[in-house]
Amino acid sequence: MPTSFLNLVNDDGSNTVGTLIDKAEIQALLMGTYLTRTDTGAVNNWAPGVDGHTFTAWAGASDATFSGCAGGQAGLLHVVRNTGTKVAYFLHASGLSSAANQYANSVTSGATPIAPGGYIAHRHTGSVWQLVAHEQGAWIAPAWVQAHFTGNGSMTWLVEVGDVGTSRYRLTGRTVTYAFNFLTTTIAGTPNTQLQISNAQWGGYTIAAVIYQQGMAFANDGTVRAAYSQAPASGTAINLITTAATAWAAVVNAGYFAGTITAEVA
Amino acid sequence: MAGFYQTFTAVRTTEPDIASLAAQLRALDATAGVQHTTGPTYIIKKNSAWLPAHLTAAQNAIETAPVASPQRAAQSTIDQWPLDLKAAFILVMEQVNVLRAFHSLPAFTVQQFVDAIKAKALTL
Repeated sequence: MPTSFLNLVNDDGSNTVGTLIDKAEIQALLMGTYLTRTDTGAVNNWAPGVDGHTFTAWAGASDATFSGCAGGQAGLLHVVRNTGTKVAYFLHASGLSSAANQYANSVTSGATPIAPGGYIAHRHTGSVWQLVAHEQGAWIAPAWVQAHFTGNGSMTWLVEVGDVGTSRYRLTGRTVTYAFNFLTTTIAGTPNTQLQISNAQWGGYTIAAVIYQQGMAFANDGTVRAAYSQAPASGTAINLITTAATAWAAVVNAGYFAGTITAEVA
Repeated sequence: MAGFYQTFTAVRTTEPDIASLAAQLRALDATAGVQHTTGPTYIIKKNSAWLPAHLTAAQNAIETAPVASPQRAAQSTIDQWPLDLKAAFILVMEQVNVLRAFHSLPAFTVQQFVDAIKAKALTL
């Protein structure tokens, strides 16, 4: 006589119809669903095949940006781990996906990324996918764009792609850490007080509260200048400022700047 | 203007005094800048195309720049003195010049005075 589990029957609630849950269904119920995906580009209302608690191993051939995920039900857990070499970004409350498919992340001013080795876990509330765990994995090195490096006023800061020793960031919770090392850069125009690194180099986030990182020394015009980096509240750039608040000297291929700043982001 | 980058591999096994190397490279080309941490690799950037003569001169500068040392580092520090320290030494120099005038000796210029301090640092 086969063993039957009355509470594990696919029926309509009447206990008069339906079939016993088979082993595959029991396994899916107990162990969840395992998926592998290679989606890339902008992905809206992502439908990887969430079925019960789901683990998705993602390994796109290029970066992907997910604005939402289909298949959510209250209580469902969806974990995505980056098993590839590119970066997956998860947008917060993006209207690009249907309301019930959207993500509610910790950081709201930019996407939550998972780089190689990283993972992100969302549990569906019945309304949205709520972030419950995130580890970025590897630090992310954004593509170089000259426009990301500017000076205040009429000062210009030329940071060529060959001048970038390091420009990498890591997001954890609502904190972003940005490490930079720019070599043989050029400062021109009318010398002024702030060299600016756009947030496009550190995740695109907005600073939540002002942060100062003291004790740096930047070589400029053959002179090592005591300086600090500052991330102003509501700002979208990190500023490099001499401690004496004097203007940076105009230099040709002789501006060296290296440091690390950790800031709270919205 | 986009820079021209050139990678060099040093034969020397010692680390050069970077300030001295940078000065030597600047003497060859006023737009030259050097990227180097430790090890044999040097990347030199300048604003004009590299010609064979430039490559030879830059390689020579890398090989012959003085070895990094505390004395060389002290010289760089002297070059980068803050204004308050400069003011103190210039005041001392001005008082020394008063005494030198009594003995009919020519006054030190600021550059001579600083150069003398740097030369002393190198002997310590």
